[in-house]
Amino acid sequence: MSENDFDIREFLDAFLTESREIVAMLDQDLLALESSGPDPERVDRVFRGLHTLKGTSGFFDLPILQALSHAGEDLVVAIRTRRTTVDSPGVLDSLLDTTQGIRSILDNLAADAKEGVIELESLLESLRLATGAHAPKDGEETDEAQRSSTRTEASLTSGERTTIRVNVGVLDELMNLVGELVLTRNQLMAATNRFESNRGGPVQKLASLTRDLRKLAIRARLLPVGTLFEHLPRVVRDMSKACNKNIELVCSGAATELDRSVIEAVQIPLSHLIRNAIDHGLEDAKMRKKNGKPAAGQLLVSARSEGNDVWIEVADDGRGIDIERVGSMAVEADLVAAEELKTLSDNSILRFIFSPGFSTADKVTNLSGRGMGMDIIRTEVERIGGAVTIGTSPGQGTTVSLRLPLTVAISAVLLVETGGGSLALPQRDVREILRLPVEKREGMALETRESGEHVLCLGDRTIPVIHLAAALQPGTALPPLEKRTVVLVRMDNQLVGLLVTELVSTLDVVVKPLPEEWMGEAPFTGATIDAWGRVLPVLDVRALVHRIPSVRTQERDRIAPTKSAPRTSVTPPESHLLCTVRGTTQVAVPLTSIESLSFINTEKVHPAGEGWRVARPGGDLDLVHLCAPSDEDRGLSPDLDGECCVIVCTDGDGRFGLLVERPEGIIDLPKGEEAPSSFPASRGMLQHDGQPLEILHAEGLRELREAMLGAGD
Amino acid sequence: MQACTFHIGELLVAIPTEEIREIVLPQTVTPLPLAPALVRGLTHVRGDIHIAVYLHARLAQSESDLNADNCLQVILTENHGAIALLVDAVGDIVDFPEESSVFEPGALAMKAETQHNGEVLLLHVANAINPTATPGE
Repeated sequence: MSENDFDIREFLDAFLTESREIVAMLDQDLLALESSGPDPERVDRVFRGLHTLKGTSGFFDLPILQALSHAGEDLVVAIRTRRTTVDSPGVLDSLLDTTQGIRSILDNLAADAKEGVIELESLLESLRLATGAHAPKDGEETDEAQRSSTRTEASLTSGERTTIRVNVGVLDELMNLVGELVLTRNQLMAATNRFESNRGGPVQKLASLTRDLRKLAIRARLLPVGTLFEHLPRVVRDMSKACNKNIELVCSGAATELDRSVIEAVQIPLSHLIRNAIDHGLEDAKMRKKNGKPAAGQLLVSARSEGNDVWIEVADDGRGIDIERVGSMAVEADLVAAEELKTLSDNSILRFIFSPGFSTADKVTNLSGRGMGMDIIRTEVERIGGAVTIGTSPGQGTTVSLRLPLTVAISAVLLVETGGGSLALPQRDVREILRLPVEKREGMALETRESGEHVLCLGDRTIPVIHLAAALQPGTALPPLEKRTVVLVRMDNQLVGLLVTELVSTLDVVVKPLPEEWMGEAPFTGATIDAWGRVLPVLDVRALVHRIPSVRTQERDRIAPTKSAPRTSVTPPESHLLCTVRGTTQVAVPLTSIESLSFINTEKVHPAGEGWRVARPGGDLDLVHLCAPSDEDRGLSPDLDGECCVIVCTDGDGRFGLLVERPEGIIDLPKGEEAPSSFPASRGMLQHDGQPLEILHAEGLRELREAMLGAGD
Repeated sequence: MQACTFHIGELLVAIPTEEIREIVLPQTVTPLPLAPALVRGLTHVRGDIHIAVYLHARLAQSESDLNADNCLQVILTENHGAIALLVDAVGDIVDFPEESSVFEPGALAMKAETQHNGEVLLLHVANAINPTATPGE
């Protein structure tokens, strides 16, 4: 008996999964019928879907679901036998209500294996009304049903089986094991590194196999973003009806793949972004006409992948966000002083939308809404290691971009030496890295106040700095730091500096949680194991900052990327690697163009053509030095003794290396604020911390490679 | 009941063998700043991260100094969580008469007579490693 129950429950899970897929497909087809008119093939599919639901619900003894899908099927039969049409009043509406009803029954079943209470009678009534006065005769219905079920089977057997269903638990376990394998490989490689003879041997082979296996294990967990987009037409339809606005939804990039857990995490935030856009962003038809826009509001939801990130953007062509109003709201909500507001760039003001205090005042902001403020959307996205940015252009629309990690199983950390031990910082918290002393940079200084607190002065902004080793070992006398590096981390609307001795490296790691009951005051989110088998605690920046009252209450960050930020359109910033090329010349290379970064001995670099070349295991790599070599430089190796840094850039068709003195850190740069420049591969120049900064772009780098390889050979 | 004895500072402590998964040679323990005093840091056994716990201060009610990297690690069974008890040396396998393992409620350990090896401090593992227990009692 109990064995029997267990079986039913197991089948029930499979039934729920399959039924949800059917309902999603029904929605799609019904919405397509609504937007593009009658299509017999779609009607057939709707029929088959409802028929399958009816049949299986009978098998599981679910009378409500059976009655509902039966009534829905009757209505579709009426369409197929031309007793009514899809565009007759109430037909599609009642069918869509039916799918909604079925969905809530499925939710109830998932929760407690019971169908629960839904408004069955009114649903059935509206279906009956739409079907017409006379219900179909029994014989008619059976015929239809039989015809279609044979067809369904035929199409099933003819389709080739190229996919199988796998329990998610198995995939999670696989990912865990692969994570362990990666760690073991790292340890093995570190242990065998001194034996040069191992190069190309079994250890290297194991390393590359592990890498491939990891990629595959990650891929096995990926789902197309399309599964996330599936329910959007429904949200848009319901919202546009509720707001009485005509909306045209376009989804692109549905084939982009993303980890299952990431998809689950962003599902709700995404539908809230859509609701916000329809409710607050897009104007009604009258207003749009007045502004010379097409009557239907455009809503573009797009997905694309860039390296290890996936971007999902929600763009509307509505009224945009009134930045001045956001600013005055922020002052009202006491998030910023009125004086300070004047010094802020548009980007910084827009960021107030993400502040917790902001969303509650929904009467004024034109972005808050429906129970989920932007702060919650941000928290949700950041929880999985993503980021939210927002760009707006008055009268032309708003774009909210979600940057999401491809997978949450592996995260990037920055390994730092604190002077009292090493630890890892989550890379996603790191905004900028500054090596000290920084006298080269104008107006920048690390100051120690009388109370012993450190602050970093950058022009007119001051950033609280935490001496990491001292904060973690209070009461211990520490020797002064030999080298000093400040890692700027962002939390909420504040920048905080962490004073460490130096950066060790960046690592992709599996972060394991630590048991909370043992943590006490320790501000760590988890721990990981490095290549040498050392355990590295991963810092919880938020928890650390909350320990230090002086920092918590200090001034808010006042970032103004450029003082003269024009008050026009603002596009979301893009991440760049900031590097010193030579002396005071700095460039920013878009992260999306970078394949890897390595330090090489200059002895291994040889002149070749206009540039240099270095031999690498995978073939020679052409190098270019961005500061055009003067004649006396020709023939010499790049201008450093001993070691230099190579940034390997790729554009899909080929790769080359940029020679730089050293990487400085990662920064987010806004678009459209740079001045023209003639620097190679540059799209423009910015003033960054009082110094000119050349911003390289992908097209420029491609041209550079093509020119160089042409000249070199 | 069978137990294994360990030297923790000057103390000789017995832990029931059925609560021990394995004993690991000394290895690096990464300090975990600001963690409770009982916690000496983090260590790992074949990729599983464990909390390294040194019980001396709790059992002897006196301060102790040690280099955690030189300690043997007693890995407890999984029902205790991922815990590695730091010990200075391994002693013997000892036998207790069954009735001797009756602890007073909340006791961390008690003095117990072994069948052949005299008196040792028998550990109530769950109580002794309870992070929320008041130290010293």
